Amino acid sequence: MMPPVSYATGACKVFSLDYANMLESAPLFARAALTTLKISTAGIALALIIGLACAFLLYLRIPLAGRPVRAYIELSRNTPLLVQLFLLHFGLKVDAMPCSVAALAFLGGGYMAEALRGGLEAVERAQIESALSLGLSRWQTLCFVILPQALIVAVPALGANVIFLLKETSVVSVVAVTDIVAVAKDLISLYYETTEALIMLVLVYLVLLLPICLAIRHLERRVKHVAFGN
Amino acid sequence: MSKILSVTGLSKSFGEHRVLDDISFCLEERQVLTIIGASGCGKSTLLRMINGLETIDGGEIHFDGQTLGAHTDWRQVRAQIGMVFQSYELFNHLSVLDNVTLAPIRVQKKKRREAEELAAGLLARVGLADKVKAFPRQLSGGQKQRVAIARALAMQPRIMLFDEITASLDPEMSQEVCHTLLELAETRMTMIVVTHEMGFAQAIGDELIFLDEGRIVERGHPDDFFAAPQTERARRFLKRFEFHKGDRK
Ligand SMILES: Nc1ncnc2c1ncn2[C@@H]1O[C@H](COP(=O)(O)OP(=O)(O)OP(=O)(O)O)[C@@H](O)[C@H]1O
Ligand SMILES: [Mg+2]
Repeated sequence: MMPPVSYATGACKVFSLDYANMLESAPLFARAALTTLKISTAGIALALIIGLACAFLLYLRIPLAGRPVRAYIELSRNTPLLVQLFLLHFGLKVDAMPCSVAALAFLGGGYMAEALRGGLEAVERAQIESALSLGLSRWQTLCFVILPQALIVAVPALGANVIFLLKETSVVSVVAVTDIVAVAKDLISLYYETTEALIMLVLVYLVLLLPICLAIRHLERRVKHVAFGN
Repeated sequence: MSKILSVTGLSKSFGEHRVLDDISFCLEERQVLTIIGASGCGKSTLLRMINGLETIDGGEIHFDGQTLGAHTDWRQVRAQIGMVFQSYELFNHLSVLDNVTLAPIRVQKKKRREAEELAAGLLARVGLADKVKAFPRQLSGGQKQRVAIARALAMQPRIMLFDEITASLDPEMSQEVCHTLLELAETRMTMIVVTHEMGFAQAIGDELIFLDEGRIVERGHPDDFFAAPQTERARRFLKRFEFHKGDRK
């Protein structure tokens, strides 16, 4: 006997999935995806700034800065984002959105610092002397000679960090941010359509990440061209 | 002629190791001074001190009426003293043209167009007019070194320092670069040339200094030095560049 098909609700079951419901949930996911993107963009931008500052402090061997910077890097990289969120939100009573951005920036700062420091160290120090000997200031040397070459080296690592951090935002729903994971959870508890909600979640992450991934690949290739030829 | 650079009683140590000891000499405007000596005798250290890349331990360097030291505005001095290194040190992320225009634009605040015209002229002078748009990785060693020379000249320096700039080049490329330097000497550029090429040292220098273990052992006109070195050490040093059939045993 054929299973009953409910035309009234428009449900059409292939692989016994409720496609209509999935389609219906799309706007919810879209709105939540915007939240995920907002947190990611702000958090990653801040992480880059923190990372750059830390990498400079280490590279320039600024007195007294070495230890605290290294301590921060280890702390941020060796504690889970989930724990950082808990501490900020429930411990320090930071609001959900700023808390998510701050925690992501805190986590990402350490990773970005390591990527950028690696890039800076890869540039021969003799380049500093050749720039200085032309009359450039230390700051100009850093900005126009060292940093661009360091970025070329660091692009793959920075790109990997961007993708990693975007994926890490999947835990922010624990502090009641309505991101895409939160939407999926809500749908599951409302309709008990677990598989549908989770498949939608996977799709939304793919839609978010694939273009970014491709853009990073493209950037890597262009940058490699400058550095090493075809 | 007027003195542009004078060095008196200069010394330098790295820890216990005294690398330069009581070095004194003057450089007149439009003069070419060549410095020769065995590896490790302190030639690079001497040039680097003139450009503020090493601190001065003892003695004095006077450049254009000012005493160089810890309180010197090195940016202003370096803008007037060009330096070319053995390893070129071109900026790999910039095109040849941008390598040459970077300092004039950023340090001298020249307009881009003006800097590019100047750079194009200099690149043509060192025989690289067709490489303006190339990147350093696309150039041979000799071409890279000529870009480095053009880059230093673009600041229109009063003195040029050359530190064994042909040492990592094969003979043919080394020739190219030596000729570029000889042409530069023709234009009466004031320069100090450190080199391992004895024929070139003799050809380019108005005066020659022979360094050994951080001290000036001999000085004079290159022709005199090579014709009749006065000290045993200089004779021994020059012997190393001679080869005879009997050497192969
Ligand atoms: N930063 C440094 N720290 C310690 N020792 C140094 C340093 N720089 C140079 N030296 C030492 O000082 C001595 C002189 O070095 P320098 O590079 O001036 O020699 P050089 O005459 O240029 O030799 P070469 O012909 O091989 O280039 C060498 O013994 C070298 O090991
Ligand atoms: Mg040397």
